[in-house]
Amino acid sequence: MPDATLEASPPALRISGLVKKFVGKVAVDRLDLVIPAGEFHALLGPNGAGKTTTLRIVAGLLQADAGQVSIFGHDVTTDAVAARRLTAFLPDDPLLYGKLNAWEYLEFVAGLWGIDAARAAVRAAELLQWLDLTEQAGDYTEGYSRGMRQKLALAGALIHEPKLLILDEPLTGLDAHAAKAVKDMLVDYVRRGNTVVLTTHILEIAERLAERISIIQKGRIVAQGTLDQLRAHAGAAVGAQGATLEDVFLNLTETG
Amino acid sequence: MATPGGAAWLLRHELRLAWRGIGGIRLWLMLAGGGLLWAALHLAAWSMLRGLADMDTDSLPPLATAIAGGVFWLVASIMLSQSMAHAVAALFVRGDLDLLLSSPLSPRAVFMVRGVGIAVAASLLPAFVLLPFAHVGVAVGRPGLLAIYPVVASVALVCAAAGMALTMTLVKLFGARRAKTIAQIAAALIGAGFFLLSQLQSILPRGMRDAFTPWLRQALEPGGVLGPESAWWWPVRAMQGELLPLLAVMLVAVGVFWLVVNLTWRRFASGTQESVSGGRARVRRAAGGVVPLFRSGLMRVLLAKEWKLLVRDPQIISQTLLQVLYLVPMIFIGFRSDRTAWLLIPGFVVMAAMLAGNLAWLTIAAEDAPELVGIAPVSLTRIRVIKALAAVLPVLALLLPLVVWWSLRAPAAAAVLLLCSLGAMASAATCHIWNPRRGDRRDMKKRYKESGLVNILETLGSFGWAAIAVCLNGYLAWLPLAIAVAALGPGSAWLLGRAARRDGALA
Repeated sequence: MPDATLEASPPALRISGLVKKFVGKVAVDRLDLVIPAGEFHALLGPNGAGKTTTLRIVAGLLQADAGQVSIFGHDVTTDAVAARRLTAFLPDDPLLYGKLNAWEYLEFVAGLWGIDAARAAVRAAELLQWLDLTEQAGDYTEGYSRGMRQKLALAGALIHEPKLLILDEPLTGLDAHAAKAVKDMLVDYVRRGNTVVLTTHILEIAERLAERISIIQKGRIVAQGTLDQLRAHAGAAVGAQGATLEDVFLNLTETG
Repeated sequence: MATPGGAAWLLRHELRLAWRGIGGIRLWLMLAGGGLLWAALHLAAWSMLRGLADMDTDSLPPLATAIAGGVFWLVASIMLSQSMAHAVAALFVRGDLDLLLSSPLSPRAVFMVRGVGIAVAASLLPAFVLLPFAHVGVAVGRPGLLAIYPVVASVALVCAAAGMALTMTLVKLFGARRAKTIAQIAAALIGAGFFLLSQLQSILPRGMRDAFTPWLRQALEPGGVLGPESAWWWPVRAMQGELLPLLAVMLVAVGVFWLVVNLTWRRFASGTQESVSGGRARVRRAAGGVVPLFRSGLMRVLLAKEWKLLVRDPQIISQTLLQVLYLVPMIFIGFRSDRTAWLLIPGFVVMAAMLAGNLAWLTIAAEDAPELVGIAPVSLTRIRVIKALAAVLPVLALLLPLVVWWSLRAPAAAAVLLLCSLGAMASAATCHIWNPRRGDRRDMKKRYKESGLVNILETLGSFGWAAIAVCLNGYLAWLPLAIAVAALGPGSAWLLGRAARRDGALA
């Protein structure tokens, strides 16, 4: 763990020189990204920019062709178990078990992460309460709406109290209430010192929630910074004051 | 051609979809293979009918009629069981039903076409086996056998109608969700029922067996309940072209089908909607919002999860149940003597491996949330081993009582059965651990397409263990060869599965 010895506290996520190709097509192209602990970070990019591929490599679901990824100093390939213990990953369309109810699902996830049963039960009750799922917690998840499934998957991601939470398009297909519940939960989660990385193609989400934003285009990061920094960056290019994130985004991703 | 929006038009649409569903090179291979097999069946039919031609009668002798009739009812029961399974699918598998039912097509036409589809599916196998007799019949001067065509179609229609009616009745009685479970189990029971009935001889205790045989003989005499002129054998007589039975069979078929379509199509339309919107799912709520007791420990949690998912899947239960039911007569036969026990061991070994392999496929390949399992801080191999255990333990639980019971009569055979079954099950499960593939539990039948290789290796291993069992009964010289075959399955899985193991078969 070279990172741990170099720095007092390693960043939540460090990606360097990441490359991933799919049969000739380059999905991720020498991507570098450092996200310090305690940050709410958004990866913004058009469809097919390589956001999901990057996150899947970080989560250990895909093998990179080149480059390194470490989570709090733990390399995701050589020190996978330690890295995974600190991480939760929520795919864009999380698959649940149709024939398990919410309690059983959370019990199972907690078991996978080796959480003490008594503690997991208390935490499950809290999370379900918080996400307004207690009422239906005894039903099989096959009868859940999309929003309920997304919320339960989020509860599953949070039950083992990860320090780094990675979400792929977490708010697609949610109604206003569910989206608000999820957003509040994420903001609160970062406030308590944890790190959140999410991908989105909805500018408004990035604008509202994230402290820093990275714009991905064709497998590389083309711009990074706070909203103001990005505005300044694009303002120079567009030649206009008070550019919105949309202007920034369109400008950067069209010419990129 | 057919007017758009009518039943015939819809039927053509469904046929085209079915045709393309098979599609491509597989279709041609199937046609070629099926054609060859069919030609062989024609030859077989020809040799059988020529044998009969010497007897110089128009109809079969009474005993032959009874045997043919018995076979007929066995086949019909299987067709009925298939029809129920298809009716459940027609009702609960979404597909294009929303589109069709929201279109201006009459739901009655949709239901009728589904019904015809079920009948066609149920008639495929009997048609394949029986039609050669019709064709050969014309050639050897028995044109009456052409009646096999309408009879097969009629029986298929009746079975389809009965299957749909039964399923609809279950929906009415129990609601959409539970009806699905019950119908699938009922389909399995009906399928096995006639088989078990035909095996009564071997299951019944000696005293009852002694009483049963004369009763059966008497019933089959002219004038008896099952005598040659009784209605039970009409379908068989219809197949030989006897006019009255033929007309009766056709009339009953069309009548029953028409009646069922007209009586239940409304139920069908509402039933499909109910099955989508949940139809008030059974709620298993923890009483008064009390947090249920959680388990801890990877092994316990994972086993509990796998078993819950297996038990709650009616399709798995019904299919597994069916396999086990077919074995029941064997268990009794095996108990009769040491020698029969030894004869049956290889079969049991293969069956145990097959069951364990099927379950291992469900627990390992058909994991519903591979991403969740993939990101957990536990090695995938460890997870797969526990999942394999989840597959093997239930089969072992089924097997153990049998081993104990047999050990009273034939202890050596029981010991070999236990040893080789354990070996075969472990071998089947290991194939899945070492060569994991992704699958979808909703479609168990696809399993043989998706993981064809694993399936072959699994079978190879189980045959090897069955051979070991045979060798242990006095053919010790062949034992090394049997062991080699048994080792070949998991060995090849290990060699061929390197990439799949590393990727976790998740990507």
